[in-house]
Amino acid sequence: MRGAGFKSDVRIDDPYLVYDKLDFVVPTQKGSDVWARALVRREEFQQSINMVRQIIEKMPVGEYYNKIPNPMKWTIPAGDAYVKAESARGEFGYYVVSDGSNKPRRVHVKGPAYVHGVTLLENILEGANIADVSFIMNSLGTCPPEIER
Amino acid sequence: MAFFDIKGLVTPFTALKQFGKAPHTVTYPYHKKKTAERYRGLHFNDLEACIGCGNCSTICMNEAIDMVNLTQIEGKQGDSGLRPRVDNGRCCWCALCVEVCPTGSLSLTKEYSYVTPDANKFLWMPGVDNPEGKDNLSFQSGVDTSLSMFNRVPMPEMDGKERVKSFAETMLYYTEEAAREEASRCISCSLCTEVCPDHMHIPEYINAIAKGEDEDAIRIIYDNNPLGEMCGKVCTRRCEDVCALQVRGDAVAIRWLKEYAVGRAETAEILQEIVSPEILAPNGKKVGIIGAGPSGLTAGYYLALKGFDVTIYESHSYGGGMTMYGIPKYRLPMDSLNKQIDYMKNIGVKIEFNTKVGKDISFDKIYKDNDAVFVGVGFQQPYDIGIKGEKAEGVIPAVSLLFDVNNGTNPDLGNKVIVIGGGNVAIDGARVSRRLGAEVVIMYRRRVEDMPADWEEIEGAEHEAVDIMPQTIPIEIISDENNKVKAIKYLLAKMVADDKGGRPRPVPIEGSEAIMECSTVIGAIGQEADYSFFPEEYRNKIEINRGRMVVNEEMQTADPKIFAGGDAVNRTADAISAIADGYNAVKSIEKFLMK
Repeated sequence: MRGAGFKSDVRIDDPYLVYDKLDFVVPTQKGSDVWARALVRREEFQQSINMVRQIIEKMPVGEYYNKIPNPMKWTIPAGDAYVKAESARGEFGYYVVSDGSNKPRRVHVKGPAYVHGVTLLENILEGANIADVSFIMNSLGTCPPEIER
Repeated sequence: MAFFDIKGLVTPFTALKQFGKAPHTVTYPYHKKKTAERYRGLHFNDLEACIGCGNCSTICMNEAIDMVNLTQIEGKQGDSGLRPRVDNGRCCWCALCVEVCPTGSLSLTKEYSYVTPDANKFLWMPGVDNPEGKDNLSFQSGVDTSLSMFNRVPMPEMDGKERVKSFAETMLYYTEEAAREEASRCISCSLCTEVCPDHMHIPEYINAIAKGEDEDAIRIIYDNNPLGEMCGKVCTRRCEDVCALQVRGDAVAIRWLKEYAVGRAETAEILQEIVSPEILAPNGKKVGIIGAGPSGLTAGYYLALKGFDVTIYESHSYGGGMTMYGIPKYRLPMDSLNKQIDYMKNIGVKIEFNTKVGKDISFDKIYKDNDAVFVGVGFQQPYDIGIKGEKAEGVIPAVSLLFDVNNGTNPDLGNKVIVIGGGNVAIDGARVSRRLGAEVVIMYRRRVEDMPADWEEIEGAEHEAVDIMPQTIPIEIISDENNKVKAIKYLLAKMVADDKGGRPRPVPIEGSEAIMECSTVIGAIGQEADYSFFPEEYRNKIEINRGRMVVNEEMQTADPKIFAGGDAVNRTADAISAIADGYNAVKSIEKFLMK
């Protein structure tokens, strides 16, 4: 999407952790092709390095190791939750359903490859050369095992 | 393209410039790369330190660990005798097993390669199959990093100076929040269930408390112990001695948690409503029980549930036996015990108070009127101290003192009391004397750490300014012309290792003789049973060996109609063993009468 000019990023749309305190831009390109996506990826490297430097600078002093409750008795209240984060390839989320016991009832992983490899690829590939398919898939970062998890 | 390609001919020789240089690759397995500091490789288990709690097996998400019996390891108290076996084909080296190991015996090593053509060999026992792993440890469990919670939630107590002013309960017991927190430390390994004489369902009720289901906890406790609150206050809690967490931290406060759970039911009626046991229709069989102590009450309760017509004969005016008359009220208040006994009466246990067998009713009559008799008379008669001058006025056995005080009469002990003994009764005697206003010294022949009394009791006594004189052997009680105790003569002792491998013996030090003035001497060196209620013909029939009635595994004496339990039978002589005896006798009586 960024290769097509959309500034889509979970870290900006729905900030979590410390991302709202960091100074970064979401790089975009207008080409909507493999080259545009490669350029976006290149710029993201730079942004990530900048962010790591900012984080190191702002990291507070304190405990870095905290005990969790006894895992044998640690129960999660019944209910469900979806938590998403920005991964290198797009939105990455976990959906967990708890029945109140110490083990989750259901866990579903929503990786970016599901969107890329199924919904998006189907449309992008229309009219493309067979020889280019692998490049296009690679530029989207599709990981086949991640499609259904 | 020329026929001779010079470049093509020469280029391969440029490889020669690497000749003599150190290679970048590592010649594994002869040389190995240094692994990360906390690298998670193959398992290693210190078999001696492991107690076989099975925590690693429970936590493993891949079900890669199972617990197997190892011939070289013998199960003992606090050790199941099982050791973990890892399926390296399933293990993903997440190290959760190490993080939850309460003893810290399980670790991961730096070793990461294991090759075998035999798939079955992937199953191996860490520590047995790789003894060399000991020198190669990498990911280890530390007290700070372990996921086990080693610190007990502190029990609120009354201040020592306040305590000696009255007989109010010294323990203030857990609040709901504290109990939940304490209960959530349990790892449900069940080592405690094994050592409990009554095999109470400890992990189950603790689990219920942790989940906030206190009523469930009460029902679980009442499954095999009808005196849960009493145990919750005064049990000798051998369960806590073997708790997996006590290896590196504090044991789970099993006793206080039980107190918390049963304490939620404030009256006998609420208790009955919560437990709401199934009571079978009367089956027409009668059982007589002698003594309303823990064993008699337990037997009575479960027999009544099973539809038997139960009558308990008790010589005193309250039930509870030694737990009523032998345990001071600051440890076990009367209300608490009466609540539990009232509940039993409500479900149909008949108790005849002030009925001394052999005086108010003959044993013969009980024997003939009932289909079975359970004898739970306990140890009431104190032993003599066995030193010169003990017939003097002012020498009293601790059990008599406790009986009098619990009965409401406060004897005059004077201003200085010396207690002889190191068990719970001695400490009780000392702490009661403190409350009666006397200065108290405990004389014990061995060291403080050898005292059979509960460490919490010893600590409690110290907080109440009771002076403990260890390694002291009293030799004579000196009395004045009116035959009244004046002083005690004693020797100091040194500890000598026992040649036969037993515990160290105290040996008097020559010339260490000293005299201490005192107004009262309290002997607390043990009790024995009084079998005078048995008519001669029955006493000859029942075997009595060294003061204890001999019973078979079914709690049955040589006379098949007479069952026995409690202190008068078992060696451990504590309330929970008595309860276990009562519970086991119920099963045998049922088998005996309902066959």
